[in-house]
Amino acid sequence: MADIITIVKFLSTGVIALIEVIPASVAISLVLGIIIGILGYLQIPIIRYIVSAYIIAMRGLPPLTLLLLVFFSGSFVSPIVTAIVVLSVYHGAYIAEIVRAGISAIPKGQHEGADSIGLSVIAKMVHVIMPQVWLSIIPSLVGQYIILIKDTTLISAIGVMELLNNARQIMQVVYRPITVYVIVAVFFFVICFFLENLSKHLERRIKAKTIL
Amino acid sequence: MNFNLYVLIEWWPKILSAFGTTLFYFVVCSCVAVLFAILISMLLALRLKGLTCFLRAYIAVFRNTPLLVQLFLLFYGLPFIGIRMPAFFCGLIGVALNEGAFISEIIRGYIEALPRGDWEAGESLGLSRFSVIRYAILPQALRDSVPAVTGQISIIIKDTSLFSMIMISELTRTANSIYTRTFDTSGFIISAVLYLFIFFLLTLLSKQIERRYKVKR
Amino acid sequence: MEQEKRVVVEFKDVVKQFEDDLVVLDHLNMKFYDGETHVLCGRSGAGKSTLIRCINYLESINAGEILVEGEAVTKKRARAIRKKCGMVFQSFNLFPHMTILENALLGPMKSLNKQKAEIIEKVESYFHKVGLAEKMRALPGELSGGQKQRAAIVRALAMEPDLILFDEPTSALDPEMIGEVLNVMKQLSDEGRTMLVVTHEMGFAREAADKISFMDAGKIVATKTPVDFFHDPGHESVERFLKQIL
Repeated sequence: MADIITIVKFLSTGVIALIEVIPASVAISLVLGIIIGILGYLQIPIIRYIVSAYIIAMRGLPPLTLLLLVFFSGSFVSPIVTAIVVLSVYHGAYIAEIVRAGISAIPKGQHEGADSIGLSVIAKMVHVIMPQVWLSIIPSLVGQYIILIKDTTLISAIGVMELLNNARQIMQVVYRPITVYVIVAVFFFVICFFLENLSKHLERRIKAKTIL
Repeated sequence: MNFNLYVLIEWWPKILSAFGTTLFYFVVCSCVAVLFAILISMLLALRLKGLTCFLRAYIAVFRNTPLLVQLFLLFYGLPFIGIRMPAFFCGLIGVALNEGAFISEIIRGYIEALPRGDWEAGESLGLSRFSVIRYAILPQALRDSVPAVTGQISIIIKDTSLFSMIMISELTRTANSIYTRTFDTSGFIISAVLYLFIFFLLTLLSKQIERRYKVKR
Repeated sequence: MEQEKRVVVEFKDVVKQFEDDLVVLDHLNMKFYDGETHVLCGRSGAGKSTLIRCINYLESINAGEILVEGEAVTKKRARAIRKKCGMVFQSFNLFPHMTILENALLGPMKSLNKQKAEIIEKVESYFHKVGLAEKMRALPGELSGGQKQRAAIVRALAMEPDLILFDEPTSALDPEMIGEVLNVMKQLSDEGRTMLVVTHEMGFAREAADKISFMDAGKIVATKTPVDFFHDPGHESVERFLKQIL
């Protein structure tokens, strides 16, 4: 038992790296995803092809491969920064698709109501469409960020001292792979399970609000 | 980031073999994961108290923990208690358990979306619950779920890249070893192209399957 | 004495065709005059809604020309023209995330770039006029159908439009709420506003309209004053239509 406490204590230094990486990646991917999602919806000539290419690339390429490629290409950049950049760009594509789908789900009548009072496209998006989109996409966003949190295990491959790399270090002193990896698994399980249920709860509340 | 053709010329046998490995794992893991998921969703639909509890717990655990940790437990953890499996089985079982959980949730969603009447019609014919599931419920739910399941299968392509961390020589690991030997990232570029190629093949195949199995109500 | 009335909207040989070769407006010619309440009626699919939706470029035409106050309706000028036309929809299309007061203020503030202080009094007076003074800070979801439509009318009025387009404003309402909306529309008509109304409510047409047009298969078959329309339409299709609904 005392062993487990020591292991947990040692592993928790890895959490610091996650605190640096996760909020930054969430924030950047959200902003990126919103911009690209709106651009994708508006279907502006030429830009729409760039957007499609970007989204297809991120859907087809493994994040681990991307992490390694970017890290080795710019070896002057620190692992943590690389991790944030790659995770943000990768998940940004998925957020963009969620945003675009959310915008498409808004009834045509809302667009017509906004058009009928002479709003510009930007004013329409800002004041009428996007406020309605935010609420509806929250469950999908949470789901996507659960995936991002699990993907942080991949950044161990480029040397970020997060949980898995710390686990490797402990095991050079005390080789108990099952205990150590189970503790890591429990850590992720608690966070993701909580977020999953939060999302379900939010989804129920959003549905109730719209029925009103 | 640079692309040098000489890498392709010099390393093409290893790259080809890695591509084959990735493709092989992708196909095998996908089939096993889907079959496993169908089994789980059928067992869940039987509504047997103890079994349902166990399965729901399994699904919750495998959906909420990272695949890489699951693979490490299989590859590094099990040998510690005497179970030594070749990397191939670790990868296969890891993905089957992980993606099986996700896919079974997808199928479960479509099973629950079917009208009560389908269940009642089957039961009123005197069929056992298992037969109702097998003949009336599951075929419909599977057809409905094809788009969503093929979407999940496209994620399995990316899961195979994690096998590089458990000593399997697939595309990502090969690209990595090309880099450590030549400090040339061209291997990754080639891998990226090959991954996208597999993704395109899958997309085409999905469209064909969706067209064939589209349910008309 | 017949005064030369100003033409507000003019249709010149307008053709509108949908993708499946359905001709919805068939070489349509028409003039709508200032200060008049003009009702459009006819069977479903005759093209009435499409006609008024082309005026503020919610639909585009394939051939011909539509002039709003002398200006041709084009994609470029769509926004400018929309600022002059108010529209009331069958399904209200109120913005659910704002109070109805905010719904009404949005147009003048973000489209006409007016300051809230400038227009708030006027907008509140409109809410008084339609009988929604106490409900101004309610969300659309908290209102009945009739209240929502009256709020939608205020949203259109707040733009101080030169003409108001009504696309079957009472068709989605329960019967007991139709009256309150028609009363507001009658009020506006009596004030001399220019109104184009697509509706099946022939009672409203008889009482409030200056002119009634009957549409059939993409053409305007007859345009008459209410008196003439109901007593001596002069067209077989109109007579058949009247027989069915009266």
